[in-house]
Amino acid sequence: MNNKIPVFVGALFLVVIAASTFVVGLSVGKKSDLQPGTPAPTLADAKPLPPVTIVPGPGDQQIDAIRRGAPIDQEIPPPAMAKVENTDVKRNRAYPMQPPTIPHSIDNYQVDLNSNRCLLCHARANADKFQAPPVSVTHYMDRDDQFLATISPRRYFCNQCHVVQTDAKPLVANTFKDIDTVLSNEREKAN
Amino acid sequence: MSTVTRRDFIKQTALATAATAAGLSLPGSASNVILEGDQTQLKWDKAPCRFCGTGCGVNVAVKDGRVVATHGDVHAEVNRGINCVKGYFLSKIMYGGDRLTQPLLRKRNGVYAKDGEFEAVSWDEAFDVMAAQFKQVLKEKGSQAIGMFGSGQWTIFEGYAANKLMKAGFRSNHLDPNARHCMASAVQGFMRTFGMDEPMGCYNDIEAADAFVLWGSNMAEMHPILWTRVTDRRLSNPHVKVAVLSTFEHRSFELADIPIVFHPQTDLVILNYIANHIIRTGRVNKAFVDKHTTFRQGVTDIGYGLRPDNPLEEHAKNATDPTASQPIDFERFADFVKPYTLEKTVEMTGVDAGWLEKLAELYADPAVKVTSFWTMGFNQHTRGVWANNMVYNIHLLTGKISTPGNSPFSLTGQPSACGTAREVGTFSNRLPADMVVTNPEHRKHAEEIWKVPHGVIVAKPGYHAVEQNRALRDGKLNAYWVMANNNMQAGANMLQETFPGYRRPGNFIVVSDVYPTVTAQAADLILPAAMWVEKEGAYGNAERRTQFWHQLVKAPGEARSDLWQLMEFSRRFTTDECWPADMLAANPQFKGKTLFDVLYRNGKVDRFPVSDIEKGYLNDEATVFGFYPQKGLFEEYAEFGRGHGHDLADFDAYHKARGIRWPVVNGKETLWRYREGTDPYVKPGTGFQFYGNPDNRAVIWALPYEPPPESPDDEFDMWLVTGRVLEHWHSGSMTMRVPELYRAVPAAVVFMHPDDAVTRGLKRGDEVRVVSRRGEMLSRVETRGRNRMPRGVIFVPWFDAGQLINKVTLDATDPISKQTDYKKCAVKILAA
Amino acid sequence: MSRELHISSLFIQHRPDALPQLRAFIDARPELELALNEGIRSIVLCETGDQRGLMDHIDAMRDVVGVLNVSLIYHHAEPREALDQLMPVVESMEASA
Repeated sequence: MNNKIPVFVGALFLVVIAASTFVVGLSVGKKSDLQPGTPAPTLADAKPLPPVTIVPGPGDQQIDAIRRGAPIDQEIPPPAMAKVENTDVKRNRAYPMQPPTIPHSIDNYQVDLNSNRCLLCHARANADKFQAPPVSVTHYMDRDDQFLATISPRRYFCNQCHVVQTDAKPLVANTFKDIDTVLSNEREKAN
Repeated sequence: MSTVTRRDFIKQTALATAATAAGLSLPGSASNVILEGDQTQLKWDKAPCRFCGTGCGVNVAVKDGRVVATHGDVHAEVNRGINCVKGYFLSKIMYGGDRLTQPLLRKRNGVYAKDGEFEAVSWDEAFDVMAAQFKQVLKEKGSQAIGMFGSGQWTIFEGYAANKLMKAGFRSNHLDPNARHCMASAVQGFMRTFGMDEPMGCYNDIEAADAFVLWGSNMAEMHPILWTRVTDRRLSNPHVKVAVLSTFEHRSFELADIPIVFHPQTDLVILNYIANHIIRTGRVNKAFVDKHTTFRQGVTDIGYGLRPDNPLEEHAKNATDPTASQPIDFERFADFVKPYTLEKTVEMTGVDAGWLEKLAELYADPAVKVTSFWTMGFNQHTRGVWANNMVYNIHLLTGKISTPGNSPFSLTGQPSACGTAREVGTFSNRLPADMVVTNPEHRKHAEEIWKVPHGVIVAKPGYHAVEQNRALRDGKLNAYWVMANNNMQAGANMLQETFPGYRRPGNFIVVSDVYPTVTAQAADLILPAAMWVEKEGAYGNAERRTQFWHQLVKAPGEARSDLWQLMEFSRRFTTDECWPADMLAANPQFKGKTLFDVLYRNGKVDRFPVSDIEKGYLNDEATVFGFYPQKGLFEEYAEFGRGHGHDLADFDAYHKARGIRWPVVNGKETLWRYREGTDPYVKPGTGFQFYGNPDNRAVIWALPYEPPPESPDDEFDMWLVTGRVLEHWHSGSMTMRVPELYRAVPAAVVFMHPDDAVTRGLKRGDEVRVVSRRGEMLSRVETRGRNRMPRGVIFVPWFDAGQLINKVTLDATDPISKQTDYKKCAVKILAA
Repeated sequence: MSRELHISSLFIQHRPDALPQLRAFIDARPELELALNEGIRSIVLCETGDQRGLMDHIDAMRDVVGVLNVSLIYHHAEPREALDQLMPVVESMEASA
């Protein structure tokens, strides 16, 4: 085909027109026509797939506990929205370097370019006043291990490591054992 | 009772941690805090994190055969001592109470039955039944009815072993990784522009950039540690600007100087607008463009990767050859992008002109070093390859590439999407080191390295991820092995296209995993797998960094690594069962050999003795096979890339280093490729060489905006966007079993604009049905929290097996990359 | 005396001939302890009543002639009473160690 380029230009023009129609269509909630005048097919025009036999059917034994007993091709009511624990009681850590979880609600906490609500209480300078645990001294080191007067910017977004805990009951137990437990198991074994 | 206090113990831990970080050994007499006896001693080692493609280094403490603590490795260059919340809880991912510890086979009356109940069986029985099923399929339908779905979470050794087993052993190219869902558009974008996969830059770009642009990437949640580096750069240097583009407002917007929320799919318009802006304002870097680029125009109207009989495919002019293109010149390109004016862009995207101009100026201003990041917003896009090509366009037009801070950077979601899926070539069309099955020279080269007869590798590309599900449903693929992924949860249009194929009579589905996922639920045979530091491993992260770790603990019960499973299973097949008679007649030395002999006892993979394993470390595979398979597989694999721009270092070097970035030439890693002075492959005097292409030039692509396959209409009136959350990794099979992560975010919700909720008579917490043309899911409304949705768009995360949002999504793909668009389809929200 | 005890480890990089000065500096400060040395790399353990004390030690150590870099590797704070607890330990461990 020796007139390829004009065809491309034409196609582009049509597409741009069509696209703007489509965006306008979206904003007023109208069904979008990709190419006005020439009705293009839509997904609604697709033939349904031929049915297939499914073995075994519903009622199969369920092994993924996260499904809460529901077969994967069926729906179950979602759990109620979990509530964030708001007790202000420090939780134990599984190992010394684990970031502490947040024992209070952080709804509507603003942490952005303009302000950091968490540091209002947890910065070293303010912690005593608010009786909040001050952030660890490790947070005052930059990437090159140099100490800074303020929190290292790389630690600025607290939620990347520190998260709240809801009242949701875990669906699967975890058998992780911390160091103390492993050691006391040894003692039991020895006795 | 001893006199050891907790204080002594903490001091000892502090010392051991520092010694590990500093690379110092701990002689017993070196310090008086070493306690008498070693009852409280922990053994600390290094490993890369198990989760995302960032590739953070962690220190792992082991006591009595269990991982008891983990923390960020201060000497890992990627993360320098920090982890995200998932990384900090790595210690617990192996200890979910329902770890699979023995093979489970569906049985009735003591024998395998598709409609049977899962029963625990021995490995012998599991592999006997599995081999019998595979052999029956081989005999009745041939190798083209056998397939495997692999993973960017496989170790490099496992991916390589699987590639050989499928493409040489079984002679089936129906091997694809779940990385198809996340990286395929990036791969094709790289191949079309540069002729070579993976980023030219590295994470060091972050500390050098003046501006960051996030194109469809919520780094604050999905690449948190890279985000700490971006945040550090931005907050420490007030001149630095951050632009964040998305179809809704998420956590990354907290750092945005230029926040942009655009209508779905119109990122393509913005990309061409920026190119047009650069040209119109005379800021093209002419010297660079003239010397180092060429221009091409791609075909348009390429379809949406739906089934071929879908009217949208039948209607598309170039659905059968979506990659066709023709050369053009700069002037033609300039004309091509000319219609993408500011005015037109504002109209189509819904973005304010001011923000668009500010964004365009970041690229156009020659004084600003720009790093562009993107992830699934670009890649999971029916024009994802185009989007990748188009962002390279604007970096190439300005020459902002391959130099510190100037970096178009495709991020990856899986720990070894790069290392295993891409570099090893576990895609249905690829071989190691960017080679492809369709190229006879490439096949020949691979066959020579593998020491198998010429003609063993099939020339036709196999089924890609989405096609595999369709082929299973259609009964064309009958024996199927799923490893290290959860595709029942991850694949789009689950009820119509994924589930039926797994449960179709006559199909035999094997799932190897560590937990009973929904994919395992749908299987006929479940094989218990070892994970992470339960085996020796290697991952490759997004900046070409290859990282190794040792086996530190044993897997529970009878769980075995995927490597062991692949190699052990290969023992049950002979070449006579898998290769044509005439090939064996011409190569009689292979007759009667097992696939294990041919693929892994080939004088190369079995070359290194067990004694090469570093003292003090386990290696369960070596114990079984009598040689060091990881080392043999790696050294054979490395032959593909050495001398071809993919050079890897020696095996042993990786166990010592905190990762090394390829190409590794003369023992030195490469930080910026394609640029003279930083890349040993670039010849002196050339400045830049994009040597993936024969003419050493990168391609600038003329590609338009095209609409998505499905948009909201009167009935299905909302856009559905799916994605991830910080606290859970991908399908959540590991993180939902960590109590702290589970309790942080226990269930998926529907993020929605408060006004959209009100107009439907809904409020926060209400139960709703999310309904599309394909299926529906029950969930609850969330109008607050971390995401702020525009009107008409909802976001539903996919980590929650209790709420399978892929019942609702559309299995449309980019026609070039075959990657699914999980970011756009039409749904309605109804009160439940 | 504060209720908490802060235990930390520091990684020091220094010139080979700086060890005597470093040792003298550490010996003069009871809260510090030279735990390990290998040529130009040393590890110092530090126990202080608060973070300020730790920071002061680090700043001062940086100024020791011949010290090139001080990195905080590990930091842990806990009430003193908890730290005084005896660890659960196997009596017969010596034999198996």
